[in-house]
Amino acid sequence: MKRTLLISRQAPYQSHLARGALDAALAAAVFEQDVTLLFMDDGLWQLLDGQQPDAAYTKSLEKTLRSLNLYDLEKLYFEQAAAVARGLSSEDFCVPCEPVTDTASFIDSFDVIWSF
Amino acid sequence: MKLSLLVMAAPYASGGADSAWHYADAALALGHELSRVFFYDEGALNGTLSSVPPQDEGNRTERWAVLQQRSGCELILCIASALKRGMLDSTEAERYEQSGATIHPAFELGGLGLLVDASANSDRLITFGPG
Repeated sequence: MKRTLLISRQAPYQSHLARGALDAALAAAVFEQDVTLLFMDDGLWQLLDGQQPDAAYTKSLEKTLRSLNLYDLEKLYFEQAAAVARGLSSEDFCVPCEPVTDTASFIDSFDVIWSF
Repeated sequence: MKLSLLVMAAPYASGGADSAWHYADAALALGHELSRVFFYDEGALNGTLSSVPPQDEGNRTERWAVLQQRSGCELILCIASALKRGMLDSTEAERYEQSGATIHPAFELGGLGLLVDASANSDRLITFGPG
C-alpha cells in the first residue's frame, strides 16, 4: 500500500483548509489507507490545547484531533523549526505529536503527498 | 502516466485553478491519462453553472467542461464543500428544496472517498492549493 503524508500548514479558524485537511485524513483512514500527518508553518496552531471555537461559528478542531486515534490515525508530526519560531513545544499540544527536524528527507520518504 | 488532480483554489481568485487547468491540458498533450480532477474546499466553486465573466476574460467552467469532453476525465466536486457554497445538482436541489441545479452538468458531486481512490489508483496526485 502507498504511504501517504498529509501536510497541514494553515492556521485554524482562518482558512477552511485546516478543517479540510482533517476531514481528508479521516476519509483516508476510513478507507484503510496508511496516513501520516505533518503540521507545518501556521498549521501548528491547530494543535493547541484548550481551543474555544464557539466564537468562530464552527466545529472544534481540537475535538477532531483528539478523536483521530479512534480511526487509527496516530502518526502525528510537527516541524520542529516552525515550533521554535512560534515559541511552541509538544507540551502545548492537545495530542501526542513528534518533532521532525529534517523536513525534506521526512517528506521524501513517502509515496504520496497531500498538501493542505 | 495516470494522473489525478486535487484543486483547492477558487476560480477568479488566485492563479491556482488556472494552473491546474494548464497542467491538465499540458499533460494530455504529452499523452498522459487524466483520470479524475477532485475539487475540494473553495475549489468546488470551479463547477458553478451560472458564471458570466466579461467577454474578454474567458469562462473557466466551460474550459473545464471542454477538457472533460476531450479527455473523458471525471470532474468531481466534493459534495460537502459544494453544498455549503450553494453548489447543487438537481438531486440535491430537490432534496434541500432549492429552486434548481447550480452546478455545470460536466461536473458531478462526490465524497472524499473519490479523492482517496484517486490517490491510491493514480500514478501521481498533483495538488493545486489556494495560495
